[in-house]
Amino acid sequence: MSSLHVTFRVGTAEYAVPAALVLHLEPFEAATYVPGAPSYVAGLVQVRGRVVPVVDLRKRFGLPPIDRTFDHRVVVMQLGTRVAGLLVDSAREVIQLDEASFQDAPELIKQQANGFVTGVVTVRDRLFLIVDLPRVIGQEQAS
Amino acid sequence: MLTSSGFSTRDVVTRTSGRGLGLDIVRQIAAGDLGGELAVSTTPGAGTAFTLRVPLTIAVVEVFSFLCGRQVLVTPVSSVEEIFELRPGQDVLPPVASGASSPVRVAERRGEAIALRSLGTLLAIDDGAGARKAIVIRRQGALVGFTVDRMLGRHEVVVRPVDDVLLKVPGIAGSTDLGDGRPTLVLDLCALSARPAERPAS
Repeated sequence: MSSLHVTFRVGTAEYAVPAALVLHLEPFEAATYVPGAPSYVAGLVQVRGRVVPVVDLRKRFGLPPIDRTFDHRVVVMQLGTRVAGLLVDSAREVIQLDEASFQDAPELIKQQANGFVTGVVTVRDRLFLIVDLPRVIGQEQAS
Repeated sequence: MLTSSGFSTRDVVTRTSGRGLGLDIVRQIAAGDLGGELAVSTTPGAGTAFTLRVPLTIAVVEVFSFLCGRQVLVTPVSSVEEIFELRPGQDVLPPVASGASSPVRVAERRGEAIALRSLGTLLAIDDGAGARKAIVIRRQGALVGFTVDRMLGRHEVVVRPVDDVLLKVPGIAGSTDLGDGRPTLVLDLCALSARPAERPAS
């Protein structure tokens, strides 16, 4: 069954998440620093009257920080009862992906990615990584 | 009558409506849980006005805003005993046995000893060196002062809960908006004063 997916880029890799879970795509200006929160939490942002935590995917994925650009986006997602934002380098496409065409990620990738990456899908020579969203957003209690 | 449970103007029940629940739930929350009221007035042919009254005390909290390093924070006025400016030399450093990254200092104030904590180092915002204003709270009878850089003002704000598990940090009571469209953290200084000073420097 094919469904709409939002794609975004972090570093050199492209990722796809189900559009049904995406509430908004917002430009990123600044987040309010939350002392004591896990280091990969960029902070709090206010999105249409709602206050949500933003997970910096560069930090989460072990990539060096880059200067903020106009392309930076916060992908606000609903996961069960939680609402959280993913800070990504850019997010500009919504594409149809057939979930039956998802392949298991190579074992070496899974290991290196700390279980964040669960699958891959290729569409016309482009490779998209599929991530375990609850795991990426994380449950880590603050120190 | 409109809000009685099970009352519906529909003859048939659809997937989403017709069971006579909606306005009953609104009334229960407004009048019951929040202590407000729901009034309805109808003019035939013109329309219906639903008036929802919710007590302000539930929604609005009076807070002090202040600057810690470069971050603006607020804390409820009700928890603050007093705010004073530290004179040079008024605060001293007692022996620090544990090598804490955020040692507690002590100052004399009106014949009482006040434990002073630097909010900047406690929250890992900055080194707290320039913080000379002390916000004093009372916790279990003892006075605790938090040093901050500058007091900004007093506001009435709506506090939103910050309930995601990633943000469950002791001392953070919620978030508010001071009008700049950005979240501002609401601190619970009483909870913060219990935080141990032995946090390793990061």
